[in-house]
Amino acid sequence: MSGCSLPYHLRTNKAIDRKIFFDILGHLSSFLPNKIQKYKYFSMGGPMLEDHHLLHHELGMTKLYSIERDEAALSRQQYNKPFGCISCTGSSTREFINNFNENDPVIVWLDYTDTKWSAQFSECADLLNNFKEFDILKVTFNANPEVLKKGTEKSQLSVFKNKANHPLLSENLIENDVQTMRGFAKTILDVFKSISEDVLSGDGLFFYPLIQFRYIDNRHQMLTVAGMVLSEDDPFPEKMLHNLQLIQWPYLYTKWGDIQEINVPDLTLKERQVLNQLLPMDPSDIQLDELPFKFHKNDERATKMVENYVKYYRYIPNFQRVVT
Amino acid sequence: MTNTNIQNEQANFSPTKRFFVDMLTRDIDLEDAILDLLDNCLDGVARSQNKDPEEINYKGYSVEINFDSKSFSITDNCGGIPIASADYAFRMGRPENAPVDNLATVGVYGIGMKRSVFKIGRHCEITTHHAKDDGFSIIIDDDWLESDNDWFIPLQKSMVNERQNGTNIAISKIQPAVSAKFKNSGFQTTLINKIIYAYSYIISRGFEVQVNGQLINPVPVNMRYENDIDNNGKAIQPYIYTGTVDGVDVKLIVGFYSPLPTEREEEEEKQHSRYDTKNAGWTIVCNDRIVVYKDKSELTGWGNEFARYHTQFIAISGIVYFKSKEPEKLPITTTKRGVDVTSPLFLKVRKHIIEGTKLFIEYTNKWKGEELIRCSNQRLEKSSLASPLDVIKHFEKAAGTKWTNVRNRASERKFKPTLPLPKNTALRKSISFVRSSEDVELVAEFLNMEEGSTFNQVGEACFDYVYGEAKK
Repeated sequence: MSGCSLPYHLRTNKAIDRKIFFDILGHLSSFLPNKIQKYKYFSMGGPMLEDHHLLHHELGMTKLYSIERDEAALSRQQYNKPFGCISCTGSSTREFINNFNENDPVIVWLDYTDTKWSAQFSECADLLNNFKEFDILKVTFNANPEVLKKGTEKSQLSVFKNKANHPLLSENLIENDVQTMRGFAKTILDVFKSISEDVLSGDGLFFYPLIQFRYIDNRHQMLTVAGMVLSEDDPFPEKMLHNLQLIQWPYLYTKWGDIQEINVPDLTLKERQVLNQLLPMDPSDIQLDELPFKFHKNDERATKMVENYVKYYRYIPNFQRVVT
Repeated sequence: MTNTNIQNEQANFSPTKRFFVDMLTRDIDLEDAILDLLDNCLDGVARSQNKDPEEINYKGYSVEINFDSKSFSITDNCGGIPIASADYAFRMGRPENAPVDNLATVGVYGIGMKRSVFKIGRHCEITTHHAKDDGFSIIIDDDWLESDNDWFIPLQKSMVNERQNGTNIAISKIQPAVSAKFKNSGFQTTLINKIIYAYSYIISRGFEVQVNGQLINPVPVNMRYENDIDNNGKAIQPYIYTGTVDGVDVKLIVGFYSPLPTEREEEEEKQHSRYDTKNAGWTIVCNDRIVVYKDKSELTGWGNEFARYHTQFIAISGIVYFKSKEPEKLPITTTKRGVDVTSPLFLKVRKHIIEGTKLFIEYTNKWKGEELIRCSNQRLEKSSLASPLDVIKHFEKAAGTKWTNVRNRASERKFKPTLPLPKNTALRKSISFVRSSEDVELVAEFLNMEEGSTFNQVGEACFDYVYGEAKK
């Protein structure tokens, strides 16, 4: 897997996922016990430190940390870092979690690209084991069923079971659970859910999902889930839902398993302008025949593409060729 | 010294309800307590069919388990409790005069259901209907639990039989610790996995179990064997023992269920336990119930009679089946999730567990190194695959299989395979050395090796390269 080596800012679906996540952090700030600026943010920043750049730029966060195991990437980070408030540490995710010991509120994004699910599940468990109320975790897993087809093994399920070995992996899974894009994402999410409940419930805490997305990134389907650790009797969810409904923020998916697909069509600026004139609109009001071009030969697919555009247009990054 | 409580100079040894409700329940896990209730359902099937264990037809029988933070229920159609047995079925402990079933059940101690109920909650309603009787129900509640004098609970005969040939146990006032587990989906997964380990065999024979609406699928267990003896008179075949000891039928088989692990796989296992590890080790089955699952402890000889379990032995798996119509003779503990290690029957069988396992441990010791593992796995991959019981049947029937009577006793015999040996093992030498991983990576790149090659492979490649140069 080489997703990590691809320039981060050229990955449309992932950029949308990230922007929505940062958007929700901004919204949450107004009714969290701690303002978001008090939080420490940890993630695998990559050579460009795009996350950290945005979080300082847009939300004014200053406690920004990047974890990087690759020596060369680390030296590039240190060279490239856009603001002095970003600290770059050379460590693996495992080492980071082993040494994790924070009194401050934290946001951690474990942005996995490879398929070592077994290690990833246990890292999630160990990290959540050190989380407090109102800490925020976002995890991105590779959820691409195609990766299970490699090798001589006929059963994709047994390839998955081998790679994802964990005591909370259900023995009751069947081949179908790892075959389709949607099903496989759900299967991985279910393990994560079980792990989070197992780790947190003993202390009267639970993981409250905020967003759940699946999308194609660098030809692999990724699953991302972000949420907050809350106390079981905390009225925070109602308060938050009420507040976000007031501002009509439509990207909150707090019911486990409610995974939304991000799959925005690749459109030219000219095409986007046509659609943008109609926005905002209810996706069901779309009249495909009134558009000056065809999205897809299959009407159903075309509708889905437009719907996805309408849903996420505010977050779609705009890439332009710059001749230098 | 005076003590007004002591009357007639007697000490009071009578039981208290607290003993059953708060004390006995500490000896069992929540999962095992639920499995105990499932065992009762299966015993119901054995009673309603009144057949030998092999002939029991599990098709059409089902159990539904449902729970949330406030309630638990288990509902079956496995025969129900006859009204006549209400006299002993609910007693704490099995009374002397209880009729003997002479059936392949596992309920012997008369403690399972009650202990499970108290483990889970403080209010319980049991509704049951047996084919030949009126249905009835009983309610265990706080009033009963709080009185140490009154041990009887009135039966309420049902006018309408809601349950046909089955039993429903509904528990509420869930214990706080249990309630926390019931709302945790991690617990649900653990329970389902335990049910799969313990009941796969019965589920594969048609029994249906649902947990919170999720139907449980069986995980098949297989064993590998070569049909034919090779030119040297050897074959990769399992070790088998069968016998009847004191009214208990015993069948034991051990062998390989998969190819041997490659060196790379052994290397990986050092970082993360492999899923396959779950399949290695010894399973013990008593009257169709798995009471020990894939044991790799001293119970079955590991780390004691032979080496401690490690990945080299990942392909070795064995299973013992105990069957008896006199369940009290089975070597099980009261929780039915373990073996009574003091049982003479188990100690006797353990000798065969050890003898059999050693053969295959020895085999993996001899077939070491990439090349030999490849040779061995070529044979194993071509070998036949069948369920352990079918493999035993195969070798019982197959012509030319050499069975010997154990110590010349007609009631016990065993089949000892002659496993293949690698050629020229005596002339092979092993070399090992330590270098910095950076240097190894550099050499691996120089030798153009695949990404992910193990250090061993790099070492071997170095040797082969130099050897090639040396021969020039």
